[in-house]
Amino acid sequence: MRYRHGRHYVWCSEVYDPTTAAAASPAAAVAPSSSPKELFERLRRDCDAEERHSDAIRRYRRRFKQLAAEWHAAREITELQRDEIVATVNQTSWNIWRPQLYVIARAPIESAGRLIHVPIKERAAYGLEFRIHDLRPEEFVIIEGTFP
Amino acid sequence: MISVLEQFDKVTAAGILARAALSIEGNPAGDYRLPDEASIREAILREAMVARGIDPNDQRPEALEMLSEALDGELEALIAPRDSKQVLERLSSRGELPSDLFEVEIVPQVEELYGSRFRLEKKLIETTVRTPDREQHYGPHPSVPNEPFLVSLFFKFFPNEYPARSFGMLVGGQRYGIRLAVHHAWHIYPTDVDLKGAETLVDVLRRFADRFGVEMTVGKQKGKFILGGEAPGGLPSIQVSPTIDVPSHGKKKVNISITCFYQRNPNTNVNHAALVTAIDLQKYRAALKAHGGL
Repeated sequence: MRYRHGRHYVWCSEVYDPTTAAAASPAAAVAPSSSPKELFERLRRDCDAEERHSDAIRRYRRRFKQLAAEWHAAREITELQRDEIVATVNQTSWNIWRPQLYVIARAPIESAGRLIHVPIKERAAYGLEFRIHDLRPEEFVIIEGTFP
Repeated sequence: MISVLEQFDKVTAAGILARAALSIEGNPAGDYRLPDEASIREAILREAMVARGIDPNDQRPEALEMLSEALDGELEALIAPRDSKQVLERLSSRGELPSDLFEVEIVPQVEELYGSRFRLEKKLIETTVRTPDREQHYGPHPSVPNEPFLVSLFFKFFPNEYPARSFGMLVGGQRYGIRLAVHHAWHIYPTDVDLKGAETLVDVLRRFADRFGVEMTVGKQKGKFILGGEAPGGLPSIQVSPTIDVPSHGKKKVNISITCFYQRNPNTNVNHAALVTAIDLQKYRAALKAHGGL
């Protein structure tokens, strides 16, 4: 929320747990690597266990540094802000990686043409995936915790 | 540095390198931004692969992972802050430091309060700071008169199979860079302190003080909880009556623990006491015992 005027770049899915979707539906064809439930629970396990060899956290750490460098080069953040992101993700903090679920009202985003269908060649499987490049804080609700 | 990037300034080079790395995972942030960036990216990837002995035609996940690691190392050299500690201290000043990065120090008064139980209390305090359920932070400059600054509050619920023993731990500390000096550390039992509608952790502390505190005077302010009080002449004096009125029993002496943060207001340079409580220790310890906490 602190950087880039709170704009979020998100990949999203129509369902939280694709394994509970109707068998023949596109939602059921979402790969585990794109399943919000799988991603959430994997990160939750790694944070709870303080797993220093977590592949997920290692990749996220790398990605945030890359994004910080790109945003700074594109003048979307300042050098100080870039340093804050890099210094933070390089620390051994588990709080920064705790998983959060964003619940987004679809209709207003879709009607504004901001819900982008991910092309099939970029998806992990056949199931539908979406991207929103500029999600604003007032457009979603954050849920933390454990889910059945 | 990768040779093809030497022609660019550090910021531009980092951007090009970052986009190349992001493109490996198909992240749209990796799209080209500069003219001829496609050929620059090709040169970066080729040089990084050769340096690591990776076959340029190898598209296996393991090879791509090695390539990503190689690019991460190059990027780190370009963007790593010169002084990470200073950066973290800046975050702390704003109340934005991840709480599990604080170096927790507990003032002797808290150790005296809990006595032989202090080892366990220390773990509860550290756990509450590291993995809080809720946090509240005051920044470096008070936005209103008498508001605290550079103070953080943390709350964590510790459930027990016996409901009467379930409690919330409320911890309050003063931030000094990445150090957190803990002055407040209280067990909040829901049956003793009604938390319904408490919007902030300061509300929780206020309600705790209402239940277990005694009346005091700080400067011109009176009450069982003082958010902040100024004392232009020097350290603020906190006056507490050593006796309290007990209905039908007359006056009795009380053992009181005064907890506060002594600060100097950065806007006015005046001394200031923040989050002041005067807790009746007999009453508090009796409650701890009743709930199985002592």
